[in-house]
Formats: sequence, C-alpha cells, structure tokens
Amino acid sequence: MVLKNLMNRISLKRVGLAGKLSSMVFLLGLIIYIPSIIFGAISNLNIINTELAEYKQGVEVRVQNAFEPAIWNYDIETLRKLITIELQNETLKSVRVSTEEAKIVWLTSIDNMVVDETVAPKGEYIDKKVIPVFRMDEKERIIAYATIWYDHSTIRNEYFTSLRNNFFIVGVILLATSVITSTLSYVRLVRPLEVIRNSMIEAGKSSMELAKKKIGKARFNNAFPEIKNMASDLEYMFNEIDEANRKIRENEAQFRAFFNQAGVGVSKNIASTGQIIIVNQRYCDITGYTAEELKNMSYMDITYEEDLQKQLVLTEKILSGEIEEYILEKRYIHKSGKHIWVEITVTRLWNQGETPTFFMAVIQDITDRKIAEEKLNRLNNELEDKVAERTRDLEDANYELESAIEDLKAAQTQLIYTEKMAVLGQLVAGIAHEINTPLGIINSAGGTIDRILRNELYNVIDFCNRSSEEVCELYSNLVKKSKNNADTQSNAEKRMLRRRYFEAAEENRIKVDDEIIEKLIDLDYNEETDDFIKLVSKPENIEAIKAAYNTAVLHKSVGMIRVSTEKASKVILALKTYSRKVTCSEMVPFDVVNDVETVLTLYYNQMKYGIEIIRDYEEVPPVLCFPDKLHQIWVNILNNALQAMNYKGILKISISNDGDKVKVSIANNGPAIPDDIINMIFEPFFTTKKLGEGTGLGLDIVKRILDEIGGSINVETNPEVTTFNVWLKT
Amino acid sequence: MSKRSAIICVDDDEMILISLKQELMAHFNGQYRYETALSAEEALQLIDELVADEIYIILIITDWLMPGMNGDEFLMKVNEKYPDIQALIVTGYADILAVSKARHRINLSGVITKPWSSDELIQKVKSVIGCN
Repeated sequence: MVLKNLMNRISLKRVGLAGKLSSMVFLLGLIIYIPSIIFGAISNLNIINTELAEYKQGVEVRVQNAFEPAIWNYDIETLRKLITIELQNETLKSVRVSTEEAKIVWLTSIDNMVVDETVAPKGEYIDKKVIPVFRMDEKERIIAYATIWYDHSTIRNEYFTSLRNNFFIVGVILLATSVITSTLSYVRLVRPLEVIRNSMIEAGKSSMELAKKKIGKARFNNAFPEIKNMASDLEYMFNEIDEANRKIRENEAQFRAFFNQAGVGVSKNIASTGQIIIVNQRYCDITGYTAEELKNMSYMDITYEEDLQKQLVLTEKILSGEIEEYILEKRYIHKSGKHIWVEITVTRLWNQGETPTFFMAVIQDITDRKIAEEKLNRLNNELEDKVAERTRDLEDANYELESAIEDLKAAQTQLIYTEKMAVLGQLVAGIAHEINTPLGIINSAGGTIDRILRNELYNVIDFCNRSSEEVCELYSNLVKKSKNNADTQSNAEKRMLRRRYFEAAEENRIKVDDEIIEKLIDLDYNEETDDFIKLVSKPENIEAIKAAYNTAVLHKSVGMIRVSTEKASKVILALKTYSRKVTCSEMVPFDVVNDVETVLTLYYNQMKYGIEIIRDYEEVPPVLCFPDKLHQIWVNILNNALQAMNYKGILKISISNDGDKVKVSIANNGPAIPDDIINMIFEPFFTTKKLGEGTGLGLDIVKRILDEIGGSINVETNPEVTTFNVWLKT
Repeated sequence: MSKRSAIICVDDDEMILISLKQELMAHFNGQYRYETALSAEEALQLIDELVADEIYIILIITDWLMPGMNGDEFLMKVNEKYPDIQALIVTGYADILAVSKARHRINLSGVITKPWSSDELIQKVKSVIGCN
C-alpha cells in the first residue's frame, strides 16, 4: 500500500517535471509565435483590403468604359452580357444600372445563376456601392448610375482559412518541440534523476545497501554528464556514509554494552520534567523498578522527600547554566519502600546557551557506606563516652601525679643544688690552689719581714744614726726610686745592666761585691756607668745601698701581703657567693656582670695558662632572677667551653642589651658541636664526657633555671666559633 | 763574674719569684747567684746565657703550671741539653698526681707543694745541693 502510494507520487512527479519542461517550451513557443501570427494576420488583412479596393476600382473603370457606350446607345442586350460577365466574379453579387428616372437592367447572381432581380441581395458581408457613369466626352454629364453589391465574405473566408492554417502549423511545431523536449528531458534528466532520487530515498531510509544497489545498477549513458558525475559522486558518498555508519554502529554497540553492563546506574532524563527516557540494568537493580516502569516516571517520583529539595536547587542551577554538573548524595525510595543511599552525578547534555534537552545521571549505590558511616558515628559516640570516662579516671590519676610532681620539683631543686655542689667539688682543687698561692706568698713575705726586722732593722737604724746627711739622702733616694720604678725593666735587661756594671767596676779596678750590684739592680737602679762607679767607689755608699735594699724588701713584702690577701679574699668571696643557698620565693634584680665575674674568678686557675679572655661588657640593667641559681648557668656553659677548647684558646664573653633583655654570649674557638648531637645537648643525661667526668645534667639544668626565670638560650656553632647565647629578663 | 754557681727560679707569678729569692737569699746569703724568669721560654734563654758565661747552674726551681710551656715540658728540654742540672718543682696540691706521672721522664730531684714552708724549701734545696 505504502509502496503503491510512493510509486504514484514518483510517477506523478516524473510527469510533472517532464510536463513542466515541455509546457515551458510550449509556452516559450507561444510567446514567440503569437505576436508573429498577429502581425501576419494584420498584414494579410491589409492585402485583402487592397485587393478588394483594386477590384472595386476595376469594376468602376469597366462600368465607365465598357458600360457607358451600351448605356448611351441603350443597347440592353450588350449591357446584359457585360453585366453577366462581371457577375461571373464571385465577389460581385448583383449589378443594377439605372437612370435617375428608371432602372435599365438589374441582374443578380444567385448560386452562379444570373437572374433578373429587383431585390437587393442581403447578407452580413454584402456592401453596396453606387458608381456614376459619365458621358465619355462630357465629364460632368451623368447618364446613369450603376449600383453594385459585392460580397467580401469570400475574401474573408480565404483570410481566415490562411490564418487557421498558420495556427495549425505553429501548433504542430510547438507540440512537436514539446514532445521532443519532454522525451529528451525524461531520458536524459528525469529518469537519471529519478534513479538518484530513489537511491537517495533509500539512503534516507538508512538502507544504504539498497541505495548503493540502485545507483550501481542504473545506466547513465543517456544522462547529462553533470548528472553522471553527480551519480558517481553520490555512489562514492554512499560508500563513505556506509563506512561511517558501520563505525557508528560499532560505537553504538560498544556504548550500548557499556551502558548496559556498567557497574553504575545510568539514566537519561528530560531536562524540564525530569522524566526518564532510558535507563540501564544497574539503574533498575538499584531502584527495584523495571525499565518499562521507569519510562513513565520522573526521578522526582522515586526520590526521598527530604532530599528532593536539595536536588531541585541544583537542577535549577544546571538549567540556568550556572553549573554544568553536580554531585549529590541522596536517597531513592526503592520499589519495596526501603531507602537507598546513592551518590548521583548529573551532567547536562546540551551546550552552554542552547535550550536544555536532557540530563545524564549516573548513580552509585552507597547504602553500605552510609550504613558503615552510621555505625562509625555510633562507635564514635560510644568512644566519646568511653573517653569521657577515661578522662575522669585520668583526672584522678593526674591529681595524684601532680602531687608526685610537686615532690619531684622539690627533689629537682635539690638536684640542681647538688649539681652545683658537684661542680664546686670539681673546682675545689683549683680554687684551693688559688688560695694556697697567696697564702704561700703571705707566709714567705711574713718570714722575710720577720727576718729583716730581726736581723737588719738594727743595722739600718744604726746606719742612719752614724751616716752623714748626704749618705742618708742617697739611702732615701734609692728607696724612693725602687718604689717608683717598680718593674720597669725585664729580667734580661736587668741582667745586661748587671753585667755592664760588673764589667765597669772591673775596668775601674774597684772592688765591688757582686751582691751589691745585684741589690742595686733589685732596687731598680738604672743610671749611667760613670754614676754607678762614683756610687760604689765610696765605702759609706755601700752601707746605704744595703740599708735601702732591706727597706725596699720590707716595702715589697708588705705590698705582696696586701695583694695576696686581696686575691685570696676575692676567691673566698666568689666561693661564698657560689655556694650560697638562699631560697627566694620571688625573683630579685641582680647584677649579672658581677655574677659572671664571680664564676670567672672560680675558674681563674683553670684558665690562666691557656685561655685568653676577651671581655666585652656593655652597661646593663640588673636582671630578674634567683641569684643563687644564676651562676650555675655560667658555670655549666664555661665548663663545657673549657673542655671543648681543651683549656686552650680564646674565650669571648659579651654582655649586651638586646631589646628589653640582657644578652650574655659566651663564645669559644674550640671545635664545632657535631650536627648529630647539636639537638641533644640540652637533653638530660646527654654527655660527651667519659663516665664519671660529667653528670650530663649541666645544660639541662641551665635550661630549667632559664625556664624558671623566663630566660632563653640558644647555641650557634661553626668550626671557628661556638657561642652560647643567654637572654635574661630585666 | 765572681759567683760561678746559680740557682734559677721560674714562675709566672712575680711575687712567688720575689718570695723564693728572698727565702734563698736569707738562707744562703751571697753564696749563689739567684736568677729569675717569668716563663719557661725566658728561663731557657737565661740558662743558655749563663752557660755561655761559664756559670754553673746548680738548681732550677720551677712552677708546674705556667702559661705557654709547662714545667714538665720545660724540664724535659733542659734535661735534653744539660742532663746534669738538678730541678725542683713547686706545685699546687692538684697537680701532684700529674707531676709524679711525669717524674720518670725528667731529671726531677723533688717536689715542693704550695704553700711552702720556709724550712721545707730550704731543706729540699739543701738536700739537692748537698747531693751534688
């Protein structure tokens, strides 16, 4: 039925195209021929009219010339003959010759028969003309009137006949042309086009095989070359399309396989309504509905009410173009009524700016995860309860611990003090030396004073009593000079001088005791050789030198006792300061420079042989601290520094203002602290010293003390210099 | 020079040198020359000078701990060059252990501890000089 209709349509169309073409040719012929026919007809009409006029004129001439003698002679018979002859012409229907008074002859031709007739012929195309007949030599004299009736229907007929013939011939030509045109156009144009068209229709119906067959079978020998080309192009195109289609089918098959076998649910929905167009098997599995059931539903129908609002907001955003896709966790209502948690990813399938068409939604069942999460939450809550319970237990334990810490703190304070005393113990030997040396000097100086007082004082007084004023003056000058010039010469210089004096005495052959020269040198006597010779050449002067020497030794000894006492008391003061145990509950302002110096005094003995101390002290305000603990900081840093330097090198101690703090830097040029232990040096019980040499608590204690008084410490080390910086609050 | 024998005292503390010299002078009077040096380096120079002057050095009394060259190192050097020179060491209590460790390496005749008593010093000096 369908095919038949199609066939009808095709044939109609076919006739239509060929017909249109031929009728166009026909019309074109008509447009060209009709004006020429009209023109021909008009010119024919003129010819006919001229012929008629000539004929009329001929009749008139003959009437005048032939009829005139017969009329004048009144020869009726001849006249009748002449008229009869004239009437043989078809056109002339009737001739009447009459005078003004009466008719002479009236002959009429009826059906080629000449009869006497007195009635004028009647007819549509019959005209009447009256011709006056003049007397031959008297032109103004009319002798009769010849009236003629002539009929132009014959000429008309002839004219129309020729016109009809013309029309007929043109018609035939036009028709033939049309037929040829339509035949040619059918063969060369319509039929090939029809084939092409048919194959295209087949192609349009996606039956590419059929289309290819149709166009392949057809012969285009008669067709226009353009159409031939078109056909072969089309065939090529069909092949290409067929190949493309094949690939598309392949892809489609692949896609379908993916779609159906995907581990996630996939649906395509109408953007505006949410209505489901297509779903895959997994989608059905997740929701519990069949694909058929879902086709008449919207995603909204199966979405859990509480979650719908969230999704509608997102849908609105995607529809407005604000976002391209969204991911949401929501609940569907399974066909069985239970809730299913899914993660849904919705993507739009139209481009920005286009009218929304479809959504693609991918869903994943996350119900298990959600259940696990809930379980986790529950466990969390239980855990929190347990934690709270444990916290209470811990608080109790903490309370106990705090009191233990209190005890520990007390023990720690004791430990710090003990460490301090341990350090002191290590120092004691050196410090003892520092006290013993001055004591030895005092002892020795005391012995010397005692000896001089006992053995020599009498000699000195005696010498003063018996000596001249001059010699007494020499005595007091030598004593003064000794006091003023103390230690201006080195030992080597003194020896040189002594040698010079000795040689001078020998040269001058003066007998001078070596002891006297030595005493003079010890008295810091340093005069020209001549003066020396003068001095020693007088025996009384020798007495003065001896007395002056004894007096100077007394002075020196007393001076030594004073200096040594000062030294010893300084050490003892430092010791006292260091070992003082004052339990202050609050920090007090304290002179840090003094404190550092105290420690340096204690260490003097250990440093005096190999260490050069550079002091760089700024004027600083007192620092806030517990004074009995502060010097422990310096002791520990200094102790480490000295050990690191192996008691040799340069120790630089800087005290400066650093903002509102006082900074004490103790730098030594010993080797750098290795990288691998630099972070451990402040740890308790960390030591690089041999067992028994250090407690490993030193720097830990330093840190504790600094923490307690709000100070801080750091260390910078490199192969040239290692510096401990301490900041103290003021 | 008239005195052909000398006692040399070496210490970095001048007061000690003065004390020592006074003690020795008080006891031995002008019997010997008493030379002093503030360091071991100076003492080595001094020894060379005295030897050049043909002065016989009968004793060196030296401190143990000194800046620069220490007493043991100093005495080792002296011993290398002049094996006959006797030596006494003056030292603080703390150094006695170190001194006794070094004793066999140097020509050491005795140790005097600080603070010394006058009698102890003189007795030790006498015993060394007497031995000679």
